[in-house]
Amino acid sequence: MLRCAFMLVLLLASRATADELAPRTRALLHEALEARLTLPTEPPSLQRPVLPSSLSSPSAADARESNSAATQAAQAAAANRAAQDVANGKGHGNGNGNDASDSARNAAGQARGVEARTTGGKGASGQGNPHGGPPGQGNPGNGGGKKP
Amino acid sequence: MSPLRPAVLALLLAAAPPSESHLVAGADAFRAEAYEKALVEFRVAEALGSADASWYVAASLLKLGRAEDAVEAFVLAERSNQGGAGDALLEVYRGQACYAAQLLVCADRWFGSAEARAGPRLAPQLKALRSALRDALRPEQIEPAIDRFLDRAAALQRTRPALALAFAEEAAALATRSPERHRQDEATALAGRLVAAAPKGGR
Repeated sequence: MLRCAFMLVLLLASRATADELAPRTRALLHEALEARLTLPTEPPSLQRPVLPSSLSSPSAADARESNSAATQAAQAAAANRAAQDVANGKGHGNGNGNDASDSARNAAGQARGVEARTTGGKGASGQGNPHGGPPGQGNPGNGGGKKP
Repeated sequence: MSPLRPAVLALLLAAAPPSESHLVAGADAFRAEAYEKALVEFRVAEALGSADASWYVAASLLKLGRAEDAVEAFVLAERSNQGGAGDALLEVYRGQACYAAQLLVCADRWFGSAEARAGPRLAPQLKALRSALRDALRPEQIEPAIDRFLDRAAALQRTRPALALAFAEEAAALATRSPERHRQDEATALAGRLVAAAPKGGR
């Protein structure tokens, strides 16, 4: 009995650290953001943006909103399925021989497919940074830590 | 104790949270400019309980050109956890999201916050951006912008209250710069209602 309680405490303790990022992961995230930091080059304006005529109609705006909502819903559903799989301990016991990570990746793949369809198949790398980036400012390279 | 027990205990202790691998995958994808993949990985990490993933979801949305979605995601990230709060780099991304969504006061706020802690290369760039932001707040454009943002906030307040809050706060901030305090009470009241209605500490 005591042994079970001890195991449970250890399990809970390991789960409690889920909110705390491992320093290596935090560093990877920080480096990724820093590497891709580009500051806007277009001058700021309060004026309403002028959309291309092909996109400026209300129906086009509705379509964009709809696509965005569909994409978000698909991503949320995929993420939820992955989380559910992990929570249920699926994977080794789901009969497919997949582990929970596989389930998450499958769900992620489905979400990516939806994302690709709703964006017309263009990847973000194909679109580039929508805000541009001044030459020579691609990576401010201010070192690690909390400073950008 | 059987010989297996120590191994099981060690595994339990060493087990990384399930979201960790997705955060790492998201970081790799972000670095490789595969922002759609990064977004999905961060979303999965978020669903698996990572308190920090929401900030990186927002940054990925910005990179995908979905500025308003990014603004909304930053508001939600701040609301649901404080993990990324105070990180100057995330503040720059948040400022960029505001900038791209034409929320210029919001952009100035986050660039200003980051500038104070930025390194010697980035700080002057942020300073220049903030100067351009101040120049862009032309008196003759403020009132139409307030009207536009309040219309958006009103339209979104039920479906996307976090984004509506960003618009309402921008309208309220702009109203303080309007000579006539154009619709200031209305903007402040709407922002207050949206803050009061926001769920505390969760999404």
